[in-house]
Amino acid sequence: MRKWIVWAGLGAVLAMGAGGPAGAGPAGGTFVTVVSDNPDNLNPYLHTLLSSSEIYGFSFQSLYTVNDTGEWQPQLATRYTVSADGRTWTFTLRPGVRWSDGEPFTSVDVKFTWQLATNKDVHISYATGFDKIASIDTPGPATVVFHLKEPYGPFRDQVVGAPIVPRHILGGLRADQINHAPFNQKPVGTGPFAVAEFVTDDHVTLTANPYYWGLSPRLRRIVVRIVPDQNTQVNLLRAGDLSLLEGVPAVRLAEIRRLPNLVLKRYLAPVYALVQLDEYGFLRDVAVRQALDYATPKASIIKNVMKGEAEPAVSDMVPNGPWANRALQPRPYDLARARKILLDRGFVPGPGGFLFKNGRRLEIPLWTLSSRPYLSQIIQIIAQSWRSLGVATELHAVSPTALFGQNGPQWNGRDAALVFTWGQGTFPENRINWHSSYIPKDASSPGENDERYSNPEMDRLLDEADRTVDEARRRVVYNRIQELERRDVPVIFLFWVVNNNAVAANVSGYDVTTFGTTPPEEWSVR
Amino acid sequence: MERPLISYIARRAAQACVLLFLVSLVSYGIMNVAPGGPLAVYLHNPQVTPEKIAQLRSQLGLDRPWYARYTAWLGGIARGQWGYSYYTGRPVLAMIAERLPATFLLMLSAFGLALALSFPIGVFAATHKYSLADNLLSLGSFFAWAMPTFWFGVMLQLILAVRLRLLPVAGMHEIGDTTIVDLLRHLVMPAMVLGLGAIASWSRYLRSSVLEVLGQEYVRTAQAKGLPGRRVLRRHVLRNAMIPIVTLMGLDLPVLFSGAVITESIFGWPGMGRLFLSALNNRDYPLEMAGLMISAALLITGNLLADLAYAVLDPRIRYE
Repeated sequence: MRKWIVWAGLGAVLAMGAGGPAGAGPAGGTFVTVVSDNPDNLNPYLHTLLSSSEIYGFSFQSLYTVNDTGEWQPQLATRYTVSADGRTWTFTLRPGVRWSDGEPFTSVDVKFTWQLATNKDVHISYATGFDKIASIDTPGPATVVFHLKEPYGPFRDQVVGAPIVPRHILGGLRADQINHAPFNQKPVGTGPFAVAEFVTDDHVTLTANPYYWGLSPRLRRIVVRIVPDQNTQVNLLRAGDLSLLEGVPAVRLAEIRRLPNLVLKRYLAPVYALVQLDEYGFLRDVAVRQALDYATPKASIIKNVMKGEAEPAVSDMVPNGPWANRALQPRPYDLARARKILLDRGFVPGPGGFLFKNGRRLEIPLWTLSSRPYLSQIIQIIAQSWRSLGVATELHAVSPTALFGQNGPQWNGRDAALVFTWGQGTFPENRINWHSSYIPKDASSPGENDERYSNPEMDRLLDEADRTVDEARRRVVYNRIQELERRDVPVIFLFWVVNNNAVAANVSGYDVTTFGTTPPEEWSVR
Repeated sequence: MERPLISYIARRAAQACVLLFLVSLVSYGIMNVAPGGPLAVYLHNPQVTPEKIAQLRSQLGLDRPWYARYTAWLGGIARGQWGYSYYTGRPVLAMIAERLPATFLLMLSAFGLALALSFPIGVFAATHKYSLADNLLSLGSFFAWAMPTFWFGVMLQLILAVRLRLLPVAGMHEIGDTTIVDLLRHLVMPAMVLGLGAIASWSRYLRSSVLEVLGQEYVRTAQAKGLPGRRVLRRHVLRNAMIPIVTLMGLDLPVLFSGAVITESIFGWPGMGRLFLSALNNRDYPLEMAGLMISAALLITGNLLADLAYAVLDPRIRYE
């Protein structure tokens, strides 16, 4: 009898609400998407995770922004002028803009954003370019004048496109209060949607901002679910619980294509995969790095691991963007040529078929992130090829903290090759990757030039790119920078990632490109 | 309470304090020699410049030696301050507290399911030793035990949620629906996945324990006295056979708090397991330490409770 009650109870729970959505996406007015990580902080200047920026992107805006075709367009400002010496930038702000709590947006908010980003007592994670500002004048509520310390080419990409935060909420707080403020979980912005609810590790709900200055949002709300497991995300999509799943895994694409009521949006993501070559011993020799580039079967990786969902890479500028040097081609896969280069550099075959020089074996371990199965497949393919070239290669798949942290493979003083992806974005600035001043001095000192690449010409070009405001001149400089990247092989560029976003058929107005999505206020769900 | 019992508890509590101190020291030390560190996640972020990383290291006190940070952390604990998460900037205790209800609900449901089903299965299998039913139950138990959680979870989702549309795929609530029925529908699959493993293991332990007690002389004496079989089983066999199960339950007590990482991840359940996994991955030391210390304290408490329960189950056991 008791057993019967247990099963009857279970049956009742199953029966209630059975026969849910029919697979055409959530109900009208609500757009549901999903992220893998719990957002750490919704303050644009304090966050670390991509999931955070995906959410605060609905709420915060900048003076100018890049649209989905890659063009700059006014947002919180309506126009700007730059002085002849490139040091004074004057913006006219859009009239009638209000924060999502109804307070007016003015020039003091822009000035406060700079003060926040450069406050050394706040746990700021993003402030690039703000340190180039000497002062900001606010002659009126609708005018902002930036005075730079020196002409600075990346100013538009780094500061003009940066989110503006409200002074009336954060301006009265001490630094330690800002670090722990409720604003960081429930921010107030000028964007089309405002965070209404944040249930940790479950979901974030954004509702239409009633004070939004632009086109009234067509959606009533956007729900961002937080689900770490990728299989579960796909199952949510198949059950009709999602309007959008970004980045459908390549192995599930065929299955998703067969489903009715779903549309796949394919686009090139501004993210590339690379083999970082840590230059300690043999890897300090450009010829060795070039040989490894020849011996890396990039086309095979794109075909067999990425199932064609990737495009060849030759530099760190996204190939369909305005900064790519289109004259450059990736090195072909050529093991014979790679071997000849190494033999010419004095390597000789030795025991086990490996190459030796001065009695030392050419040994380059491959490391990658265990959390991404496709990267593990990639290092196996590379290792197989490198071994046939005569390179001794061990494979390691570890956590991000182990790979990039202070005690990881980057700090043991030995040659190493690290395979991972890098979210370069669509802007050209890459100083921190290649400039010799960013080579880390020791395990406790920071530096993004972990491969320890050093070339005086590259340093000079990067300095020049920073000083140059004129776009045409900057393009010439970045073309040469890309030529050096290809010639010197500080890293092996594997491919650019192609993403497939699955969208429910009842969604309209949503599209995505390398540069971003259509504005969320234009999205709707029937 | 009896005097020997009070002094026994007091002695165990004093030992627990020393043990917890050692656990904290060793854990903090190991955490700091583990590869990576709290700023590794920033190192892989193209937006974060080396200058900002250096500044953050100083702000978070990570430029001080580990023993200096440990002393500061210990001092904070003594004052009741568990600190702030490196990543969210929120108080560690608040982050733990907001996940407790979901964690307890899931773990207690699985615990209850396991209790309700493992006892009848274990006892039935023991009293029908080597029968077809016993063999089938054994086979089922081994199968359930060997089945990987992530596979079983995804299979359940595909069948019950995607194909049959009987249950929701994941989460704790439909957005905007906070009814008990909705909660129960979300709870069914994760509780089943978690409970099944415990049913398999507990029923096997119980079966062998009951078999052992059934062969004892006092059981034979009770049967010879003419006591009904049910009474012998309930009064003389089960009570004694429960001691190993109570030990298992005591050891499982911290799991009620620490949650179940894989099940929570698959079913998008906002529990403690996911919180601690991300703390471990990010080397969020304050959060990691809080999780470790509370789990250790619960493990010690669980053991103590199990020891005390022995005396209730078996009057021959005395505390001195």
